Amino acid sequence: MQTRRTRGLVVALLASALVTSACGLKPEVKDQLAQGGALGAGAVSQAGGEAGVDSGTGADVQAGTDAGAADAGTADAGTTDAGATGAGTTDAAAGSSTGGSSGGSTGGSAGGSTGGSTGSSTGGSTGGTTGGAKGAPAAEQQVGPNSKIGVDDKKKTLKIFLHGPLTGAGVPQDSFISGTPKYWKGKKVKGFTVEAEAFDDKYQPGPAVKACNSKAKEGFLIIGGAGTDQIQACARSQVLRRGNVPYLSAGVTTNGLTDLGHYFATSLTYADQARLVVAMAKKGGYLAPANGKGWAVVVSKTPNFADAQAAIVSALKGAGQKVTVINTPKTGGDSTAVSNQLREGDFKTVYFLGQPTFFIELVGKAGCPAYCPQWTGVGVSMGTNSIGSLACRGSGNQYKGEFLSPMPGLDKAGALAPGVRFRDDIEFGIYATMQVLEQMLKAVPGDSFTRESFITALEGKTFTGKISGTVNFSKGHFGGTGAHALKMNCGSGQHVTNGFYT
Amino acid sequence: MTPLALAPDTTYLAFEFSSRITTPVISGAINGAVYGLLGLGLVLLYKSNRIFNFAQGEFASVAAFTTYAGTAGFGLPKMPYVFAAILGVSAAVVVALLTERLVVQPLFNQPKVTLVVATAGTALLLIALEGFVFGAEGVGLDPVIAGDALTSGGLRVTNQGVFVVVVLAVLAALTALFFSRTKTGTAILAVSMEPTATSLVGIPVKRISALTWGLAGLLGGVAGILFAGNGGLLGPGALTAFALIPAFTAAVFGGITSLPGAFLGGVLIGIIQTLGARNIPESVVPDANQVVIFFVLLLTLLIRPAGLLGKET
Amino acid sequence: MTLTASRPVSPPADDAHSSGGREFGPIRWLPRVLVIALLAFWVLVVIPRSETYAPFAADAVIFAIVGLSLNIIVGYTGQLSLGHQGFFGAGAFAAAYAITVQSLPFWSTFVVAAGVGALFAALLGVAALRITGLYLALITLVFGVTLQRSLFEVPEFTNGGAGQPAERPEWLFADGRFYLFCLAFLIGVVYIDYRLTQTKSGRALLALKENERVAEAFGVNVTSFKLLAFVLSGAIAGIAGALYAYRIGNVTGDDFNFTLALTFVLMVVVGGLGNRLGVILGATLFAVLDGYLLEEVGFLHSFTEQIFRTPNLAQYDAQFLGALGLLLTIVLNPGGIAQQIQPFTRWLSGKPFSLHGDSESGPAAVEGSHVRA
Repeated sequence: MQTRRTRGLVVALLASALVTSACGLKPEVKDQLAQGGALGAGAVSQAGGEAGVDSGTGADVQAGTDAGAADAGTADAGTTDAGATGAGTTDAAAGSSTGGSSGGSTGGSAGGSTGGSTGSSTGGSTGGTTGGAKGAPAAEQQVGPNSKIGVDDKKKTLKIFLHGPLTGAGVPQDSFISGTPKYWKGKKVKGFTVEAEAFDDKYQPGPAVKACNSKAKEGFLIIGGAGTDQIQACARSQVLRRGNVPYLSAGVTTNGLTDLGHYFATSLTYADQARLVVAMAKKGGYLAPANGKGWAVVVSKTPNFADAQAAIVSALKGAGQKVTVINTPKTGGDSTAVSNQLREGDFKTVYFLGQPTFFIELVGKAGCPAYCPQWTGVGVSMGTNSIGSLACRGSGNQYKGEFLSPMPGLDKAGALAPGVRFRDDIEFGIYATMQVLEQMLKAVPGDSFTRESFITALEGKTFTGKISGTVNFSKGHFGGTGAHALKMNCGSGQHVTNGFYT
Repeated sequence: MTPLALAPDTTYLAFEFSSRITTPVISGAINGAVYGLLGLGLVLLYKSNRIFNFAQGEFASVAAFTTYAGTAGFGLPKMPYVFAAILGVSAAVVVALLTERLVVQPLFNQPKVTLVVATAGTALLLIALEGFVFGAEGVGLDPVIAGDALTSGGLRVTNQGVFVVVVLAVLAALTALFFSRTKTGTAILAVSMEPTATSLVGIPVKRISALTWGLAGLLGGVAGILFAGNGGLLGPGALTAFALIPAFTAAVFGGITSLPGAFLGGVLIGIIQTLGARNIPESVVPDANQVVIFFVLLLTLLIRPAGLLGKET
Repeated sequence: MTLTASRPVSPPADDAHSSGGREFGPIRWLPRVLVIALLAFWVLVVIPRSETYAPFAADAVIFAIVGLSLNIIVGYTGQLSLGHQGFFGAGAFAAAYAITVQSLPFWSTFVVAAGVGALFAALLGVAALRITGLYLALITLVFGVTLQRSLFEVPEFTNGGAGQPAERPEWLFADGRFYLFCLAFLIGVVYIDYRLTQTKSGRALLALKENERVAEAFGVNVTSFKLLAFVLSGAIAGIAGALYAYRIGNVTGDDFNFTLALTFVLMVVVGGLGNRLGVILGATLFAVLDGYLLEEVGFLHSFTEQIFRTPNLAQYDAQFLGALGLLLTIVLNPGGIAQQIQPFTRWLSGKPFSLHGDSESGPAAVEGSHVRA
């Protein structure tokens, strides 16, 4: 009798597998095939004059070089190329230089911008392969037709995605789901309804890329919610690069992201925030610990944090502080050994960059009141309140933490987004992100949304969200301008916004 | 895609004996006590059933989560910690008994490895259930006794840490006495050696089996509550992820058939782990505290499979 | 799903045992051929054309290859390996490193992956000569976790937490094509596996499972065959790892955690130890369970969402179902899926449809969890 029951279950499982897969197949509608047809470039004719002012920093691929002067365009592209680390620039340079020169001769400003934008986007995407380690040929026919994916001109809908750690991060996750569509309720952009949906990256790069790749087939653009490794891996994914899928995230690292034409950082990278940490510490009075032992810098060891680590070390040394770096395994490792080391060194100020779960453990093990350092750092972009509360809990409510964040704290929600109720700071952070995104979508000329037109509309522009502040892409795709200081208040279980640093 | 040149890993403090050796040894020993407690349950089941119980970590998690639920209230009035802890340990015992009845008994005559795979399946099932009920984000459980017993330089010994060591020592001694001095204890050993013969002479094999699993659940439950109260975050499967492998290594290293061995093994593994983590920089060997465990286990199995105090394998 | 591709399409010619010994005619083979043709059409034509389904199908095929690889150790030699994700991951990183850092040609990365997988497996195989049974299971478990946490985090090889990119060549970029590419590998592995069980070495391997001493008495070189099993299994797992790397495009150490190792064991046991088709079906089931099945069906999901307070924990849904499937299989139905579908496979091979297995290919042939302690 029992056997029959199991048999039933197994058969049911199998049957459901067969049926669902069959169901998934029949409506081939899902497989969004070519909709736009026309090569995106045609639609992208945005005036070149605005599109690109070259930075000269060489940090990023500059798109439309000034269309007026052909040779200026070439020269600019040349400097970008020389300065950039990645390979993609080679292509972008070629694109913009030819575009620029032809534009110059035929007199069309559109020529310059088209050349520039397609050059940077397609070139940027294949660039990694072409100029880099490998020599695979570039075939870019798919980019054009793909560019209308996620845009339904008939129903007037725009499908966008946000990925975050719905599971596995040690912070509450439901808010990602509820927070993502929140901003768009009852709103339209140029007559389009924005359908925003969150999906799970499991707080691991592998699943993140897998999910991003599959969502790139349905969505117009993707936003990276949290997690440096996940954001970096998704942005760099071959599928996103080839599909030229606009990808936005808070600034995390420049590692591997500088040569991507479709990636935009909407806040300062962790490395760029290093000097702000010093400024914040100075104001908070913990920059120079009285015992003269200097700072401990606890950073989880991943190449994506290498730039942040180097930046904070040099910023602190510049401020005359001794620095002791403690690298931990990516997953955390032995919190006992690390907390021992912190106590031994008697570091009164600790900079932390790593997994939230490990942070909570470390604060607990450090052991207030005997040893109760000031914790500081950058960019825990979402879920700060829950992490802070757990840290408070583990330290007998004596936890002292002040971190930089791309968003102000939830305490500002009432003033900055009146009438909206937020469950927590994750919802609030996503709301703020979407607010900036709305500005970006509005910058697309006309109502012809394509991935290319969106990317071109962003390049060189400045956007201001009421909540999070200004994003300025005039110097490249890393548009952050400042960061908010969030100071934990164990009494209220919330971070308090404690100034804005630029 | 070349990674940025990595900045130098650790500006290590000058070698100081106290910070490199003494402190890690003491704090490692305290960490290891929890491995020893989990290891006791593993040894118990190995002694009696000749299996490795991969669900031991989850018996522990269940107890910790239940204790948390008791103290946090969950809609009901909040319980005092002691009652919540008793409830937690009871929950672990119940889960262990259910595992015995639903998974172990039906597989009594199957090869041992099948049974081991089944215990791993049980662990996965329990982790999923914990995830359903408590969510993935993890909870924080208070220590049994708050406060520090000693802080000096880098060293910090919490009251909870001292308590864990005492509990481990007492439980190891009690279980060892149980096996050597009581009738039931000897009956358990007899069953493990000759199941058929013992049932012929009238020892109730099934009841004995339930008793051992219940005991294992109890030991696991105690370990779970003490581990979760250490300041870490208790998520679904936390104990399986962080403590099960060190506990197995502790049990094998100390001698898989020896209860005092589990005590010794646990403490030693804790010490070796923390020594490794403190003295091997991350840039030389990533996650050194996992690597040292692998080598301890491998060398034990190759050189002396019976372990430090074990008499047979 | 990968049914037809995996089974050597056996025309019902060998009906020496067929009940009744009736004449072989169109009425008997037509429906069977139709079913096979339908499945083949589905597997070879429909799936590759579906952009939604092809990536999951590729996952399923890759898992099937791993399943077959694990089956060589668990199903044939009777040893339990809980560290198979280590070989799988080593192969994935080897391929990613070869193509991204060393710029080796695409095809050669599979050779590298197989070599690295085999090397790690050989190391463990040497240990397996001295350590057996439960202890071997334990050491493989710790071995796999150590690889994941330590070796897979050495930035020079794996690029640490950022992950090592492994990009597909242009001609293989489309998911449908990549799925077919994986399928070709699966067919190759099925063939190797089939040959293995047919040759002398293969029989020797199977003999090892029954009893090492008896095998030795019959002149089987236990040591070398055990090593052979490990090396072959590791090489195949390494190739699967390479495919996985190209499937995702970016590999990180986290991808190869202990849960994956358990999933591998689960799918082989639920599929039916020692049975090729069963293992492939089990692998398919587990591969699509998390990513596709639960997302698209959702009935279990809304069920758990209503009962428990936390929504969107699809991860636990899959784990719950997988674990439950495993326990039910082991406790009540040791033959696994292989045993369940036996009436159908028997019918396909030309015998009359019957829900009861017959004596010569009944549950005994599937040999549930006959793993030596």
